[in-house]
Amino acid sequence: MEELVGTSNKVLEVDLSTQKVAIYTITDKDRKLYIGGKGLGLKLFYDRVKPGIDPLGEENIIAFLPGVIMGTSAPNSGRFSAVSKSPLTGIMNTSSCGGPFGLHLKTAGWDGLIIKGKSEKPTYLTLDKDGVKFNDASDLWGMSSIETQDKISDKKSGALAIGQAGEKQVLFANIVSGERFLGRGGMGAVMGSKNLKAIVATGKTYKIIPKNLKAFNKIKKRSASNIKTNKMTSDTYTKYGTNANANPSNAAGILPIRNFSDGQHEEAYKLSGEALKEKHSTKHHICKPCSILCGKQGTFEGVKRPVPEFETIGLMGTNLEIFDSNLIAKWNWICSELGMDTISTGAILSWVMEATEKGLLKSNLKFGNPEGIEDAIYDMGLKRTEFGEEMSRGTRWLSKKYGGEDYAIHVKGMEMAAYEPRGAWGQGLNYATANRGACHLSAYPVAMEIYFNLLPAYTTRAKAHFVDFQENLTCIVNSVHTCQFTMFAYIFESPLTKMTPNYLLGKLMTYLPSVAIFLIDFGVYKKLWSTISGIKISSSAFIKAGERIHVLERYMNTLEGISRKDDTLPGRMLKEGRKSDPKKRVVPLKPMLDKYYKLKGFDKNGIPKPKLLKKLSIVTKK
Amino acid sequence: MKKLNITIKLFSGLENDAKLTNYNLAKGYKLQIKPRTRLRTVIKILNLNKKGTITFYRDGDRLSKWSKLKDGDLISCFRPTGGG
Repeated sequence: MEELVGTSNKVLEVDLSTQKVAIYTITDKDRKLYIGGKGLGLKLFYDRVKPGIDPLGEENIIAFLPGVIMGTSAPNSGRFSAVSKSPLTGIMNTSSCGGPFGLHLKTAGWDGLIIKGKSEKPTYLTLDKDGVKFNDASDLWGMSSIETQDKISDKKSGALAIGQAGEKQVLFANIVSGERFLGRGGMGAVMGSKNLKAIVATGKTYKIIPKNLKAFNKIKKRSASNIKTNKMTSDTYTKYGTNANANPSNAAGILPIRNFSDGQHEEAYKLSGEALKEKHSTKHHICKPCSILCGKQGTFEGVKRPVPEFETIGLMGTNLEIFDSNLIAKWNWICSELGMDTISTGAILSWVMEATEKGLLKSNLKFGNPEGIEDAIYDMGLKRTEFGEEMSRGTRWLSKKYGGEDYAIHVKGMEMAAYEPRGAWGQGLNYATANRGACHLSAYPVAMEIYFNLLPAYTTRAKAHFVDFQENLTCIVNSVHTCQFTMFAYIFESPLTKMTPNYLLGKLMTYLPSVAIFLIDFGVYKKLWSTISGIKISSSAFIKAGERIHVLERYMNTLEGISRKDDTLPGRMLKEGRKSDPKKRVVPLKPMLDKYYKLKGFDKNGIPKPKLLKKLSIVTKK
Repeated sequence: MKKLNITIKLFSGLENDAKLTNYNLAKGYKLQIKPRTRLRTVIKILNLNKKGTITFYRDGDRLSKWSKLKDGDLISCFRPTGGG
């Protein structure tokens, strides 16, 4: 195997319309400013695409970028990013995946792949160190995402593919790599609109060698040790997977119940990680390489299936008042085969149930009743009925047509993840401001508000500070690029944090958030990136790169018309208390949003100020 | 003096730390305590006082270790978790 030291900086630029392939070289300047993965993907998109284009039109592009640490022996290094304009929201969409495609792309010698244009007929691409080949995918069209990958790839390659939902341009269709997903915002529909069924990369041509191997090995050791000593990353998630969140969420009243009308249910424990482990004899089923091991597989009525992740359990289970794990695992698998986001699918089903209950439309879907759900999933994934076609457009579209906008649980068109914000106000601010819509991965204040017992949930204090900081840090994590769960290990196992009693840490974070943020040690990410790429960078420049990535994405969204009016929450979260909350608390969004804009350097309308863009070296577009 | 009946729900493997055999996730662990008992006493009874950070909830709100418990309380206890 040949050695590739550091990063290749070579990006394949494929035009499906002309079948021409070019190679773009990432400059050192852009590498330092935008890190890799998500950050560089956004920059490449920004430099190539004008605002206002149709996400399902020929002008949209989709970029795939492995992280800088991909292919090295760093823990949890198997992630890659995709960047495109979302057909669901009409704004920027970035996504992270732990499937095998990324590793093969990187070890074939490519630091990125940009897909432009539109193929005349169904096509799939094969790529290796020598470049790209265009292949006829007529025989694959109509196949599921899983079957497609089985047909065109083997153990020596890594694929990504769309299912029938992507072909039909369902607005929340996803892209599947192995059994992992570029899940949200309709990336699969973008591929479908380009008649691109799949991409297979054959890598392992190059061995990735960090530029500063000795220093890399040292920081690798520290990062592995942090993951091993952190109780969450080495115990709770390893044993129970992401569904370890279900019982705590239910206890805190933040589990979505009955289309987010409540946050607690007495049967919720049936879908907890603890219950699923016992009932379905779960085993590890993970992204590779990984040392947290949160992904699970289990036996469901005699069939081996992936265990639905927490978001799926929340949106396709508790939120529909369905507590039968066998059914949810089956629906989850159907969505995987169709290539469809389970969060959006579940949220649409729950909206339809409530709209039916309130007489806005007629359907056979009812809360607590599994009848009709499987048919409805196929109806929307295959657009096989008129109402299925309508559901395939998402809750925003449905509620504009039928009414019921207050309980259409989305932000900017993207359906909300499984954390009820009325019980975690910082999470509410995060949903309102996240660049791709109601996404839980932009920042994650709910962890500090509920799961780590650090910030009080029912206060606006310090929330803007932590959403602002976490957005920047998350951009770094998704650009370096590693699993976001490493944040729990790398930050909470750093010496200063570990030595400080939880009580004091909480007080410091609540009353002196700027000081607490200044003291946060994110050095593992910086050192991993720096030792591999060979680029020296200060801590302040590194976190500033995270800020730059976040602000660039925000700026791109403002060019699409996004402003303060869009940084909001569904009416239900602002006006209506949860059924089980005697105090009927709602999210006090305005004061948090005002503070957030101020900290970010946005004007009162949520637009990044020219001074901020200049500081971050973002060249504006007219 | 009439004792108070409370229920403790232990998640993420805390039942093992408390050395509770045949723990039932649905029913939780029933305990009788004296009136005016604080949560910290129950934590000690369950041997959870030296098991790292644990969060406690009652009726959807976080509960301090110094809180006095009431008859019929349902207390949920869990270790730090996060992400989905």
